[in-house]
Amino acid sequence: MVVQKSVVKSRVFGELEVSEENIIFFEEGIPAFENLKKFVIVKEDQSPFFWLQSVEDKDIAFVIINPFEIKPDYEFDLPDEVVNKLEITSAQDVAVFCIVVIPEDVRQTRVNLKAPVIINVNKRKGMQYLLDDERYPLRYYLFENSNSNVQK
Amino acid sequence: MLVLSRKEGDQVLIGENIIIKVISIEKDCVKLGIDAPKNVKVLRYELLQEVKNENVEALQGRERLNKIKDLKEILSDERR
Repeated sequence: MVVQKSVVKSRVFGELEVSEENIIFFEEGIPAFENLKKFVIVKEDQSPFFWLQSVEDKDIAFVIINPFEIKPDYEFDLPDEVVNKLEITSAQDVAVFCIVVIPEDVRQTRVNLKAPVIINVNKRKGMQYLLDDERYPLRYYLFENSNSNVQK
Repeated sequence: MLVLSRKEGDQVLIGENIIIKVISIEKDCVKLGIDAPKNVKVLRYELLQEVKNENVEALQGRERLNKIKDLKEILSDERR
């Protein structure tokens, strides 16, 4: 099998070589960026953060984090809608990330626990899903809530 | 936009299988019950707007991530 490679231009990383097999398809895009369907996940060195980089627009990259790193008791039932759309067949298919907002005052850095990015790593399909769950805020302040966890 | 007047307990049918029922009306708050198939997304409109706003703001994070790393060091120094 020939693995297709394509070069993605990224403002953060310069030129990224991406295998087709690493591209995650967001059928509905991401709220406010509905036209962008293809993303790759890139690990940040020496930090718990990742990047969700658009393949189609080099300027679009979100900082994301594994929510369990900052809130170990984070949990929710996967809604049928997500299971069906992402073709999830087992728990091993699923990876969850949350989008990190870093404002000018970086002490106010927050994580969107209300709308996690859910990915079927086997089918390479993803979506940002809005949880109907009062336990998790749209703005979970990283440093107020979990200084010690982020040190890792 | 279709505008309807409905009393408490009244219902509205949308399409084949979406029912909106007026549960109660108190002062400036209407409580609605929404019965829709599982594949129909029902969302508070302003929540979606908030998520969009957060996503747009999140784009600035890429330039500021290095500052967070510094901040983590500062915070850990403070605790020592």
